Amino acid sequence: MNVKTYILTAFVALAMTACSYIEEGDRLIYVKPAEVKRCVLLEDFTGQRCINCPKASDEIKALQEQYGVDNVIAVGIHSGPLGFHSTDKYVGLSTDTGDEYYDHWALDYQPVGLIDRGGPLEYTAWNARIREELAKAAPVNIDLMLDVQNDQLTIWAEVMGMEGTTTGKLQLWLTEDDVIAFQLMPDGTRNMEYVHQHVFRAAVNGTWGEPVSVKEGETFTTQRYTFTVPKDWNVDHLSVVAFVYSDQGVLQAQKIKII
Amino acid sequence: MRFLTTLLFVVGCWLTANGQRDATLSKKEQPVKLHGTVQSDVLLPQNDDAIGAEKTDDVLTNTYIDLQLQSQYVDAGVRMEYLEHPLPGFEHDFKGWGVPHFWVKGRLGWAELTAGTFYEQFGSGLILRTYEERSLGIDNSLLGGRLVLKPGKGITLKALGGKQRRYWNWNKAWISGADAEVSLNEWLPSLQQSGTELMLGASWVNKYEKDEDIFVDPTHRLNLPEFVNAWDVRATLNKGPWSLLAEYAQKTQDPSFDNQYNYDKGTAVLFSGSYSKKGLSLLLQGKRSENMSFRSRRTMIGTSSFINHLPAFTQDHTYALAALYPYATQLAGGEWAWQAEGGYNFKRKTALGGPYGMNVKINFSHVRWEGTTFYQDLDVQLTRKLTKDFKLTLMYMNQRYNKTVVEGEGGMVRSNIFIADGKLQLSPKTALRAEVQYLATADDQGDWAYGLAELSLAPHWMLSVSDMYNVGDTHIHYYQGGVAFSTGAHRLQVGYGRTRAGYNCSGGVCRYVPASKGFTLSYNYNF
Repeated sequence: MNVKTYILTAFVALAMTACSYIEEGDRLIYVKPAEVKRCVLLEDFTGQRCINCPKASDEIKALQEQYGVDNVIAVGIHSGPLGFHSTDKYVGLSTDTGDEYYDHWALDYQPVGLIDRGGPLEYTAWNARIREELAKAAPVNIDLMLDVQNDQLTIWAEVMGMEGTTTGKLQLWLTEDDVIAFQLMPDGTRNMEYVHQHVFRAAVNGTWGEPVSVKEGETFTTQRYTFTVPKDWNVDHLSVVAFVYSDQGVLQAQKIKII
Repeated sequence: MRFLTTLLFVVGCWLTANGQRDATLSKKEQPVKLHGTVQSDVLLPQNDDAIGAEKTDDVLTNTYIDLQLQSQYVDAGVRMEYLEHPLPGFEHDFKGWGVPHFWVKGRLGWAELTAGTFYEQFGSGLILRTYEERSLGIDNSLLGGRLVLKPGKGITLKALGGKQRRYWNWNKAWISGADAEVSLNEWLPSLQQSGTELMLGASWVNKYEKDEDIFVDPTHRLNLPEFVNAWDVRATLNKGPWSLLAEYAQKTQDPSFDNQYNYDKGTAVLFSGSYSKKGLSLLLQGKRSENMSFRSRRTMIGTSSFINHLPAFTQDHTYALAALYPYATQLAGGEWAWQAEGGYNFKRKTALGGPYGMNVKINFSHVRWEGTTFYQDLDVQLTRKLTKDFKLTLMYMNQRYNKTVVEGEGGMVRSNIFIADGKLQLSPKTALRAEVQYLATADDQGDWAYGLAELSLAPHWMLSVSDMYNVGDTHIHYYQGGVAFSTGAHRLQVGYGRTRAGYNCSGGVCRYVPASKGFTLSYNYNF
C-alpha cells in the first residue's frame, strides 16, 4: 500500500460515516398530550445556594400549567450541600428531614428530581417521566381531611383500594407556597426577594410515613395527626401532601390547601 | 459482561502460559513477565463538627490491584478495584468492586490488536481522550477493540470502537474513531537534512446514541441527532530548540444537558509554541473552545462519561495555598485561555547567579469568555542555592479566581500569595525541608497561612507535619502529620489530621472533596 491508498481509504471511511444534521425547523416533534389517569409526585431536591435550581422551578411551573397543579404535585425539598439552614441573619429553607431524604436517595447534584420515587433525574428529563407516570392507573385513591383551629392542624387520610391488594406506606407532608427567601440565580447573582413555591416544611407522620394495607373496594383510615404550625410559617399558604408508596415507587398522591 | 471478563482473562492466561512454554523452548523469544502494582488508600474517619467532617463508615478505602503479563507477541492485563467503601467526595455510583479493566493485546509485525478495555488519546484529546485519574475518580476507558498499524516509516494508523465505562456499567452509546499520523520528515530528505521534524495528524470520532424523550414543553420533544461526529486536524513542528503545535477540532450537533440542548456545532483551536535551550525556556499557548462538551450520554451531569478532554492551559500548582483555588476547564460553554511561561538559569559564579546559580521562572495564564474573566494567575518563582547545604525557593503569585464560574457561587476571589520553601541538607542522608505560605485576600474566607516541616532520613523514612490555618474567617486549623517508610518496591505512609473541603484538580478537571478527619494509611507496591 502506498500513501495514496491510505488517503483514499481514509476518505472512503469518512464518507461512510453516518451524520445527522437537523435543520432548525425540524428540531421539535409534536407529541399528543399525555392521558392523565392519576397524580404524580415530583420531589425536587433543591437549594438556595444552587444557581441552576431556579431553572428547575421554572420547569415545574411549565409542567403544572400543562398537566394541572393537582395532577403534578411538586414538593421542593431544600437539602444537601447547596441547601441553606436558617441563621440569625437569613431565612433558610433546608430541614434535617430534607437532608435525610437527600442522603437516603444518594443524590450527587442539584437540582435533581424523583418522579414517583423512580431514579434521580435532571430536570430536562422530568417531562418524559411525568408523561409515563400520568398514564399509569393508580391502585389506590387518597382522600385528605383537615380540621384547622388557629395554628392547630388535625390531619387524617382515607386510602381506598381500587385494584388488587396494595401494601405500602402512607406519607403526610406539609408544604408552603410563596415563601420569600434569598436564592442564588443562574447568572450568579443573589435574589433576596425570591418567591419559593411548594417548600417542604415537615413530615407529619414521621420521616417515612406509616404502614398501609388495603384491598380493592376497602378503605383504610389513618389515625388523626395533630400539628402546631410554627409562628414564622404562613398558615394561609400551607398545603398537605399525601402519597402512598411501596418498593414500586409512589402509587398515588394527593394535595389540598389548608385554607 | 462477567462471561466476557472471564473469557478474556482465561484467554490471556492461556496465551501467556503458551508464551511461557515457548520461552523455555526458544531462547530467542522474550520470557513471559508478570508485572503488577498495588495501591491502597485507607481512611479511618472521625466526626469533627468544626470542619463539617462526618464519620460515614468505620473504614474507607480505595484499593486497586493491577496485573500485567507480557510476552513477545501477546500481553494481557486485569485490574481489580475495591471501592465498596470509598474515600469521601466521589459520586455515589463510584462505589462498588470488581474487575472493570481487562484486556488482551496481540502484536504481529506492524500490527497491534487490543481487545477488552483500553485507553486512547487522539492528538491533544480535543475529540478523544480516555484515561484514568484515580485521585479524581475518573476512568472513562472504552470496552471494545482497537487496531494500531504502523505500515511504514513515520506512519501510525488507529481504528477503534467500543462502549465507554461509567463506574460499574458501560454507557449504551457506541463510540468509534480513527486516527492517522504521518511524520513527513521520514519521507522528505530535505526535512531530514535541515533537522526538522514535521508531523501531520487527523482524527475522527463518532458517537451513536439512540433517540430518547427530551421534552421542551409537554407536547414537543426534541428531534435528537443519533450520530455525532467530531474531527480534528493538527500539525507539530520541531526544529532545534523550537517546538510548535497547532490543532483544530470541530463537533457536529450534539444537544445535551451540558449545552442546554442547543444544536450549535462545537469548535476548539489551540496553539502551543515553545523554545528550550540550555538555561532558557519559553512557552506560549493559546486556546479557544466553544460548546465542546462531548459525552457518551447526552443527559449526563457530573464528572463522568466525557469522551474528550481539553487541556486547561493554566499552571497546575503544587504548593498548598497556590492550589487553594484551582481552575477547571469550562467545556460546556466557551473560553479563551492564554498561557505564557519563561524560565532562565543564571549560571553559577555570575553576578546574579551567585556561587551556586539561580533559576527564575515566570508564568502567566488568563482565561476568559465574553468579557468575563474566569481565571488569571501571575506567578514568579526564584530558586537559589544559598550555601552548599541550603536551597531556597521563593514564590509570589497574584491570582483572580471566578468562584461563581467554577463552583457556582462566590464571586471573584482576588488574592496575593507568598511562599518560601527552604531545604537544608543536614547530612548526606538527612534533609530538612520547610515551607511557609501566606494567602492574602479580602474575598471568600479571607486570609490563609500554611506551614510545613518535612524530615527525610534516606533511604527509608520521611516524617512531616503541616498546618493550614484560616486567618480571615473561620480560624480553623487543618493540621496533618505523617510518617512514610519505603523499602524496595514497597511504600507505606500513615498519617493523622484534618483535610479541608475543597477542590482536587488535575489537568483542568476538578473533584469536590468534602472535609474529613482521621487516620490515613497509604500503601504502594510495584513489581
